[in-house]
Amino acid sequence: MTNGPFVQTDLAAHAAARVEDESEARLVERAKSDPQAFGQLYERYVDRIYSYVFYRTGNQQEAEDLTAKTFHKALDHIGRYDNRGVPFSAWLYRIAHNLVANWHRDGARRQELPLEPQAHLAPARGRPEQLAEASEEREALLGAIRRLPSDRQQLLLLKFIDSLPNAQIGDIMGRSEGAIKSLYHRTLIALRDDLTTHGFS
Amino acid sequence: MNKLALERLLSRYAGVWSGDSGAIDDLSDLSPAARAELDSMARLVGLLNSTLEPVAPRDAFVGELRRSLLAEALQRQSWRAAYFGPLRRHWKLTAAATASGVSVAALSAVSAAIWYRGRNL
Repeated sequence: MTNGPFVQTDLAAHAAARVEDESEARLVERAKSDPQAFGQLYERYVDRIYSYVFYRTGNQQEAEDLTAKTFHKALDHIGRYDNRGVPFSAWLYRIAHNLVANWHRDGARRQELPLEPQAHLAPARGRPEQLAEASEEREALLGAIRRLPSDRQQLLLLKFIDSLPNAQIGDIMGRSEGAIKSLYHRTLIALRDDLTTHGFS
Repeated sequence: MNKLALERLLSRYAGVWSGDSGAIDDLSDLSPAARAELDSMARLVGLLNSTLEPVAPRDAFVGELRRSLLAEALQRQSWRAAYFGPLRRHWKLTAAATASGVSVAALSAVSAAIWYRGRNL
C-alpha cells in the first residue's frame, strides 16, 4: 500500500466511530427505561435539532416549540425505537422534519428562513463596502435557499450546519448515499442559477 | 455547459470545489470554462459555509425542556412500576387468569354459534 499512514488513520477513525455507535446503541437501550439515560441523549442532540428547526421555521419561538415537541415525541416512542440500520440521530431528525412539515402545512405558511440571521452569523472582517457586499450576498443566498423545495433545504441544512456526510443524510431522508450526492450537486446548480437570475454572479 | 455535464464535472472534481483540502485533482485536462465552473462552485460552497452556521438555543429553554422531559419520564417510570410491577410479580396468577378468561370467551362463542345454527335449521 502506498499511503500507509493515511490508511491507518482512516481505519482508526472508522473504529472510533464504530465504538461510539455501539455505546450510543447501549445508551438508547437504557433510555427506554432510564430517564437519566434519555437526558444524556437530549443533551447530545438538543443543539443540533434546535438549529435545524430554527432554519426551517425562521423564528426562535416556533423553533423552541417544535424542538420541545420533537423530544417529547421521541420520549413517547423510544420504547418502540429499533435500530434496524437507522441511527438514533436519523430517527430524531425525521421526527423534527415531520413536525416542521406539519407546521408548514397547518399554517399554510411559506417556508421561512430567517431574514435577520445576522445576529447569529460570525462578524465579517473588512472595509465597510466589503462588509455591506458580504451581507448582501448572505441575504441573497438565504433568499435563494428559501425558494428551494423543502427536501433540498433539508439537505443543505444537514450538510452545512451539522456537517453530516452523505450516508447519514441519506439515513435521515430515506435515500441512498448516491441519491443524496446527486441531489446535492443538482441543488448547488439550482442555487447558483437562482442567484444569477437575481443579479448575483 | 449543460446541467448534466456540469453535474458530471462536479462529481468528478468534488475535491476541488467542496473544500476538501486533502483531495488532489489533476486539472490539467480541463478547459478554462470548466475550471471557471469549478471556481464558481467553490465560491458558492464557501458562502454557504459562512452563512449557514449553527444557531444555539437559549440556555433557559434548554434547562426548562430538560426538566419537563425528566418529569415526564419519571412519571412514566412510576406508572409502569405501579401497574406492571404487581403483574410481573404474580405472573403465574396473571397468566392463569388470562387463560381462564380466554377459555370462557371461546366456550361462550362456540355455544352461541351452535345455538344460532340450531335456530336456523
